[in-house]
Amino acid sequence: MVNRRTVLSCAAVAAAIIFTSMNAWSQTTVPRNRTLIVAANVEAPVYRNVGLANPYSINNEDYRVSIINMFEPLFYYNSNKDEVIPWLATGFNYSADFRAVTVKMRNGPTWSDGKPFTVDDVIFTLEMLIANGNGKKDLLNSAGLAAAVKAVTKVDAQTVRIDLNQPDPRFAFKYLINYYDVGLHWLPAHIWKDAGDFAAFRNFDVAKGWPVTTGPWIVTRFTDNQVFMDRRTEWWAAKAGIAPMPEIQRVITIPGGTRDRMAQMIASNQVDIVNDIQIAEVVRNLLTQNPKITTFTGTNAPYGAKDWWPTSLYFNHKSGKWADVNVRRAINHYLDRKQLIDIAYAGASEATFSPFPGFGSLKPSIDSVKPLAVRHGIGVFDRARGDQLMTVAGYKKNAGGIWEKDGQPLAAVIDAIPILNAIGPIVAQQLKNSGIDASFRSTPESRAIMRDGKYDLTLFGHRGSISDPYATLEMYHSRNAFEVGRPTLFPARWSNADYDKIVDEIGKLAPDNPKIGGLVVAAMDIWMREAVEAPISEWYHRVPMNQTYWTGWPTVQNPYMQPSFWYTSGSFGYVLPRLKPAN
Amino acid sequence: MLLAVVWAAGTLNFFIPRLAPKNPIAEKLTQMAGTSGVDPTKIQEMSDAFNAKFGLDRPLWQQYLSYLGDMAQLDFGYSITKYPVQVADLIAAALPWTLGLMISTTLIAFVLGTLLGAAAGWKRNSRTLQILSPLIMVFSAIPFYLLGLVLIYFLAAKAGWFPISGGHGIVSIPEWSWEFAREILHHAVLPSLSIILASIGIWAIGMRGMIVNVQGEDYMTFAEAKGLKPWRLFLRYSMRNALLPQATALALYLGHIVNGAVLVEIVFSYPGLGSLLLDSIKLFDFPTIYGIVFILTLTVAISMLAIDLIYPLLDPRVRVKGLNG
Repeated sequence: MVNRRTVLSCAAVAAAIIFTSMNAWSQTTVPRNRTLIVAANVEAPVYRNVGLANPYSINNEDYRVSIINMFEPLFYYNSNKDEVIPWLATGFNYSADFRAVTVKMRNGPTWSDGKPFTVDDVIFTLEMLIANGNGKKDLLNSAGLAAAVKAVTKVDAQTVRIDLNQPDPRFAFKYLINYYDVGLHWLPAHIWKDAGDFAAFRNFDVAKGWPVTTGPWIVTRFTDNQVFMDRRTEWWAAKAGIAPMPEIQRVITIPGGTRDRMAQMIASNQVDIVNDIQIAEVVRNLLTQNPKITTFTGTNAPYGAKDWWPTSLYFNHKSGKWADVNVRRAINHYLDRKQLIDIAYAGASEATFSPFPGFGSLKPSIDSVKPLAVRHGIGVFDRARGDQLMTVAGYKKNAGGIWEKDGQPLAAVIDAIPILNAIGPIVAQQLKNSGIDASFRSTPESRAIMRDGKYDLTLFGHRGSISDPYATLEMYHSRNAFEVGRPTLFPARWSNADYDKIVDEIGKLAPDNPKIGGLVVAAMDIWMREAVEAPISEWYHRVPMNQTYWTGWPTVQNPYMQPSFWYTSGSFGYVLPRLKPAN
Repeated sequence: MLLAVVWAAGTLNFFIPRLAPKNPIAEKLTQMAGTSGVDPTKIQEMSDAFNAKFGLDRPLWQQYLSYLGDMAQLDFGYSITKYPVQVADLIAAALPWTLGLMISTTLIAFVLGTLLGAAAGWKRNSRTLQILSPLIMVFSAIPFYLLGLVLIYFLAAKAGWFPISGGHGIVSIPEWSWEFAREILHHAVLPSLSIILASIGIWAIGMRGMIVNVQGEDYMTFAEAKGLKPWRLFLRYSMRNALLPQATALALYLGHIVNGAVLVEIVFSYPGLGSLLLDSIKLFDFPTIYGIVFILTLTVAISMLAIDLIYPLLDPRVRVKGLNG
């Protein structure tokens, strides 16, 4: 007979069993001063791709602010010092005709499951991506790699040869060397060969120790609120003496939410590093409020590290509105970059006159094109000169002070993604003050409008060159000037046959070839003469770093790597072992 | 009838998001191309590959038939923008937070608001209620999220009594312990308070109006003339009759709890269904939109059915009429 007492007794026993078993599953805690807490800006208030640790999935947002830093590259690249740092490999050589690259692997790296990292893993990863790029096309990096690589061959136990379809002296910098959002992640063939559908493979199982990487971490927890990466007991790089064993015992990455929430969390020492806060004024306040917070440039402007994303105002070259170069040049003259930087970034940035980011390795190129910029008035604020050019273009100001031609006032909508909301209205107002009926628009549609080439003017960054000028120059090649409607994130859609010839010539030369300097000047002479766009300013990642628990962050005094932890190259993995506990 | 309602709502659910000339794959790839290994010039090629994978290249009517079949089996398939995550897993992860926060606060606000409204309508000369009622009406005019921001500023940022955001502590590991349960409750206080304070007045206004109406009914005069005690008049005659529209409103309100809490979830970084739906709409993730809206449709339809079944218990007149009719 089941009575009330029996039911209550059974319920109590069941609760005790559940309670005990759940506590048995719970993880060990790590002291706060041995835990690094990272607040990452992801697309939602929580992680949505829980349990996805596939580096080549198109939906890897949560992974790429956390677990990605467990994956180690063949080579790191530090743009602060223009330095290639051999890691899983020791070096590479091009053939004389740049049709092949031979890479020498390091002896000694092991995967986190104890198996050796070998040349077979590199071959497996490359061949998997190439096959996908030639077939399903549902993995990141696969299309470009398939177009570039003819064959991958094992030369010996330590060496792999990659044959290319076309001569390419920059292949290593596109795929083998990791920096910013560039570079591949190497996969353990003994696990991935049985993955089946690579795009659907999650590469995550705590019980099996997945993802298996060569880094000093293992994922022990991945929920919608937390990713735990715990330090392993052994790491090949520490054994080999090329890196110290991390003193961090656990890295916890949490979804940071909005930028104001992240600022509050780092101000109250709850977290050690957060995403780019962007607004210089907010970062300055954080530095004042909490003396333990620092930035790449310490307490000095621009409170961050330079990124490869200098901002420009782009003309839509497929639109007849900007067909006259005099109008494009006039708009260049109408932009007061100093005022713009003073208002939008509290003075904490630098004006630009070229599309290149101001890294040290690009300084020779930037310096060499400066006289061209002066000659063609690119980056030069001169409203009177702008008015002259508008007059030459056949425009006259109407009663409302707006430039007009054939009875049509010159109006333009400036589209931009929200990250550029700080400068958009100022650019629009400056153009308005100069007689162009400009307005600024930033909506969820703005990115698609820009992508499909359906904009008048747009504000956007570059993501081109870092180590040599070719990548930025190549963006403006005619092959990227798609017709309106075909998606691309190279917004200019400009074409010029003479420019193409010079860029093609540069593409055939090694980055250190002395001929490149002259060719860059020749290409940029056309670019500046044609006023392809209006460069505005450098882009800085203003990343606050808290020294309450951890010191040794990358700074201008010790610029051993970029501090941005969300780069898809996984370059923050190089920073983690170098952080030291504050106490 | 229930099936017809679900089919009609499900059909609208399928076609309305498709009116926008957008492709979820292209939207996602564009977003990714800004920061990862999607070649900025190869968006079209990858987009075509994924359209074929998700069947988005098939004629719309074929997609509609597949959709109806899948919904009938409650198979929501894979999220496009979170592939290879299944929509059911996304909903399962978000639902407990929404249920925990929104259902409990909605019920608390309903009970408190209804009682307060009933008391305010019954005892119109009470000094306490005369002060309390307008105050609560003012709160009801303030949106949840705005009240949330005010609470965060004063009680979390200034006073430090409550955490700024999140469902639990940053470093804490969920486990079955009193300590963790206390932490969850501590984190839930501000979002709950913002919802309860902002919605209590809505229920109170409705109930007060109904009580005032009921008081003018003949049966109330008759009951009073019979010499029934005031508490019996209040509970059995006045409240019971006034409660019916409130119960209907509650059932309809359950359908709004998801979208109503979106901004609260964002302000407090609470991982519920509302922000999941918003994310999916922004990227045109059709399977996830379909899954969530379908669950909501079912919730409202079943709530209304439940109310229809409960009505005779609340109001014997409905039952008698039914029997006679």
